[in-house]
Amino acid sequence: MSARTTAQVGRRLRSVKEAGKRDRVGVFATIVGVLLVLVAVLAPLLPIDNPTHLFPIAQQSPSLKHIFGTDELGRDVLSRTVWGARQSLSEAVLGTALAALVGVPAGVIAGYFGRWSATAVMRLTDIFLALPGLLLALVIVTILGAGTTTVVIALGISFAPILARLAYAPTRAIRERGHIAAARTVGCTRFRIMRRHVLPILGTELIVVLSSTIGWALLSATTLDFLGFGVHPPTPDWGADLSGGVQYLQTAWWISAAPGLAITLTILIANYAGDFTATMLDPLRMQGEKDKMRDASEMIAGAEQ
Amino acid sequence: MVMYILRRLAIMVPVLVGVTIVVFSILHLIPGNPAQILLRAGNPTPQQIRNLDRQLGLDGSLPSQYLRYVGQLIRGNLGYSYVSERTVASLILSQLPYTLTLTVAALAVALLLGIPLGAVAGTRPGGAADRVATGIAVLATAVPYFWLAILLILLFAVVMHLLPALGVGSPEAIILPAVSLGVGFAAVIVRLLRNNLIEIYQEPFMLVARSKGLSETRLLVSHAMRNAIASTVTIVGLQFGYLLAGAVTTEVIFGRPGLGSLLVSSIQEKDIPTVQGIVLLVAVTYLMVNLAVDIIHGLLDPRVRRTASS
Repeated sequence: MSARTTAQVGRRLRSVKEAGKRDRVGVFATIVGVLLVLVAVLAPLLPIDNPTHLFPIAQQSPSLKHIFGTDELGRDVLSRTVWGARQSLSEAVLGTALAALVGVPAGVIAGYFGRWSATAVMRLTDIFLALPGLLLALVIVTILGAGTTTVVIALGISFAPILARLAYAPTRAIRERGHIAAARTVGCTRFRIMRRHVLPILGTELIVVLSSTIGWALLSATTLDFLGFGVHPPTPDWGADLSGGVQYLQTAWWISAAPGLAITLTILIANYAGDFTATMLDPLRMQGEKDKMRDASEMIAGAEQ
Repeated sequence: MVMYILRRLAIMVPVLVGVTIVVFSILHLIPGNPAQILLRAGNPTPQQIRNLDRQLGLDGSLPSQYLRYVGQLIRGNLGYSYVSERTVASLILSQLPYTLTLTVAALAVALLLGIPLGAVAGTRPGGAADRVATGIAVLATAVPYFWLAILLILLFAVVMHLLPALGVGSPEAIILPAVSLGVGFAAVIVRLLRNNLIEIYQEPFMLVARSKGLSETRLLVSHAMRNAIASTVTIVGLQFGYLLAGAVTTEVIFGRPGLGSLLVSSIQEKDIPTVQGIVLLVAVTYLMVNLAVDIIHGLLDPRVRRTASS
């Protein structure tokens, strides 16, 4: 490694440290977020009970043997919450990825070319956004029938218009910058300009948006599972397990408590971790842009509430 | 102003057409023939299926079917339910009051919680009250409303026996559903109002008002809030449709009748015309509320009328 890059790495590290000092909640959220993903990925290796094993005593209150108690059929709630993370998180992440794959290019193209392509994309998003959040997802469920693939597709379609909108406005602003004109002058193709000169600038802010989108997608996914349109029993899933416990609230509150808490925490983490990660990647991020992105994630939140 | 309203309407028409196309396509994107779904019990002959197709308006080309569908919609005919022997319109009308009561009550909760908290937070950003209000707002947006509903049932119905948990038997039964649906929305209002107020407090006219010697209360109520409320109203309107969508889960959890419960059971029973009717109703309501909000905004703030043309 040459001296120059060492210096660069040093500067980068220092700025990450700085960012961490300014945003302790962000550091904490990022660490917990990484742990959460690890738990979800490593679930099969963890020393926990089989999530579908039926213990003889159902609705057992939390104890040393079953820290979160057992559910209505006698399954270990802790283990179901850990395995549920796998299911619920992958639905949310895949749904967001699908939405980004469709929405971001549509927004960038509309923002870059403007004119009729902008009109077309914006009117199309208008149509989809007229079906508020969950409702659009439920339309997809009606068409495709219940199941986890349906949940992912439903999330992808209902979040794509929002992401298209969020990519559109900044692209329009970036397009007016000097380096785009320079790139055009030296003869870059439009595709290359979008990929090399627009997307990277958009990228940092998109991380924030995508991270909170994962949070809200998780809310939608668990809602669909809660309503019985997602996983088939006995697959562990936060939304489905939460709804399973609802009938037993009077006698066994812990069945619904654990998955509910897990969903809430994950959404919180998703909101804070994205902001911190973006600051880490781009320490010069302006406070104004941060606020804008927070408003944007509010828009997503609103869309799903 | 008339031009402004006409322009808004002109933007809305293609969206409305698009929505009807989306809703119309639901029926055709579903695998299987509706007539077969309807007659599945009776082992139907091809002749029976053809007859039923004609009855349901499913014969002819897709464009002609679509035009017929829109023609019926304009006359207020949403079709017949596959499950119960009723028109979709009458089914929806019978459930609509429950959902409207719930959403209006939730909106009231959101405004009653959101406006005071947002005002307190926005007047002294960074202060103790702001930290508490913002903290509550962050938490409230993250809590899934179905989980909040469960916590509320647990606390107020199971532990304290203060309020009924389920159904629509008594007037108090609306309280828990309205709170669980309204709190998330209140959080959005808090954050928006706070940000708006912070911006407005830096405007020159606020400095003028302050140097006139107005009290801080007067300053907040008649100068800052007046301006901040206008943009908050816009968001409240924009989100009303989402409140309708949120009613789906809330109704299911609290065992309330309403459009949400009807929608979920219709999806389960593959009662497509009812699903189409509800989706269309929510979308149209949403667009109408948006239009109304735009018009109100234009009336309140002349600047909007000029800039909105782009």
